[in-house]
Amino acid sequence: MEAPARPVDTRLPEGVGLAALVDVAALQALMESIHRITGIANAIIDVDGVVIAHAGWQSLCMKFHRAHPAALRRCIESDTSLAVSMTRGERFAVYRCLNGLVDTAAPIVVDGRHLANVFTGQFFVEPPDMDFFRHQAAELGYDEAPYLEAVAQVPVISEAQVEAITAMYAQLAHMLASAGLDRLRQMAAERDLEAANHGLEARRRELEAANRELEEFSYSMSHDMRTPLRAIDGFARLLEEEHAAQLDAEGMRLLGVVRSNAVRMGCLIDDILRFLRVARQRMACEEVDMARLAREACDEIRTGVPERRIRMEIGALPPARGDREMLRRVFLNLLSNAVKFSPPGRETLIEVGGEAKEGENAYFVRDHGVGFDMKYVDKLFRVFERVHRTGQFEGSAVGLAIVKRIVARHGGRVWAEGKEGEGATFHFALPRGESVT
Amino acid sequence: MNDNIVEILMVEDTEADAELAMRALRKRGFANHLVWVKDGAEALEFIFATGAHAGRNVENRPKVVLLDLRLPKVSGVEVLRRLKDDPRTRSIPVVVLTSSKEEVDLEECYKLGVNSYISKPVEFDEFAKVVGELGLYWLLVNKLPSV
Repeated sequence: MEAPARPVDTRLPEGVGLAALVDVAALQALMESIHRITGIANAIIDVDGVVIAHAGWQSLCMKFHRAHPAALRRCIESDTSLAVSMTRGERFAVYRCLNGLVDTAAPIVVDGRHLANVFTGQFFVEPPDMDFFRHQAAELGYDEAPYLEAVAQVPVISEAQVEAITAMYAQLAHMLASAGLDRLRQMAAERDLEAANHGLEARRRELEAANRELEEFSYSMSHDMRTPLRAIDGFARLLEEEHAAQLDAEGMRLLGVVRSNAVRMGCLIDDILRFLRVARQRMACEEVDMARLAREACDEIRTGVPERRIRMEIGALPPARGDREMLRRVFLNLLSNAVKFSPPGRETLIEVGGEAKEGENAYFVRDHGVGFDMKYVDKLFRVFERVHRTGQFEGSAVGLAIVKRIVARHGGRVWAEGKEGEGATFHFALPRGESVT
Repeated sequence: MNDNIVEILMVEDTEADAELAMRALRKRGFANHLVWVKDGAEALEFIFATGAHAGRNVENRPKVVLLDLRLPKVSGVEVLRRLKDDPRTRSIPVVVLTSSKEEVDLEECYKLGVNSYISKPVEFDEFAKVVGELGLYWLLVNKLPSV
């Protein structure tokens, strides 16, 4: 069952206005293009009064009205009033500014929030009343001639044109709002992703620390267990040696059982320590000639079982990058298993091969011995799990677990195939060209 | 005890290990002049003839110190350091006989000048053999400067 999708949090973060949600440079270019076509001033101003883009502002406004404190106050009042009518949800408004020009505005609303307005204006809808402006010049203390020249520059636009232009700006505002909303959603998703990653990272560190702690504990416990074990074995032996006279055959046999179990426990502890040591060791990283390593491992195994007839066929193995000693241990364990699980009576054939595959180098060790039932394949690489009856085959049950650990530390993977009575093939693959941990 | 020669000073806090070791040595005839202390503090007191062993003749130096690392009060490493620091005791051979197989312990001891480092085998036969060989080597084969 899938978890319900979490609603995307599109709340605007602190200090994020329209400018953060749109491509301001592209917008500026667009406003300038529109100005070139219409000949009329335009602007996008956010609700805090910050001008995001603008084009064609009349010098009447820039040099005169907005530069003069009293006139500027009137500009701001007009801007605000226009903006307020926008907040009442109107699609656009037309306004006669207090300094005598006409403005229109359309709101940009993103996700229900009014972020900015598109303004166009600073034009006349009928030829200007020059008397009014002459009076204005006197009132505001402007030089009459340049002021009236600026007035003359202001375009006169028909009502029909005003409507068409305003409609276009309203559509533009709508599109900007949509784009803004998309961007908001994307930003929210990015924030969520970052938070999730932080959480994962913290969790990963926690798990790593817990794992290390557990391994340290296992290691020191295993260590400490050897001392009482020595006492068990030692005192049982002393009993055997020094009190043989008081013991009958059965008594001696019982002591023998105590001793052999102490020894067995010692082997188990050694296995655990060997396994845990793999995780603690520092890993070298070098080029490894795998073919040569396999040959050396084969020789070492052979010397350990001089009574066996072993034929090893080693193919061409691609080189690997990693810790030579650890990889040697991998070959030793796999080969030792291959020998162990092959019947001793006849010649034992073991094949070692490898090939370069997509992104990894794969190697295998194949024997033709007792094999295993594929339904137990998952248990093979686990510590102390056995797929054959205890006592049927000698030796430690951590060999494969160690192989898996070493290969995992190299960033690789292990797998196996087998058929009862026919043999088994153990594969491991190491990544190519990546760093190892 | 004051004037008896001491050949082996065994510093071992685990009774079972001490008993097994002493038996192994006794079997080979090496335990006649063996002194057993159970913690690092007493080891130092014995060697330097202080505290509980104040009356002892300091010149009466053991031919070998068998030193466990895991000791109460004063650690084995610290005992080793004190012995090797002091010119009066520097030449006494110290053999660390420990359950630890830790690399870091091994390195630390050799840095301090240990003469030999041996991991106690778990199997008794092996353990007895090692201890016997230790006794043979350090008491009979190895030569020490005369006092």
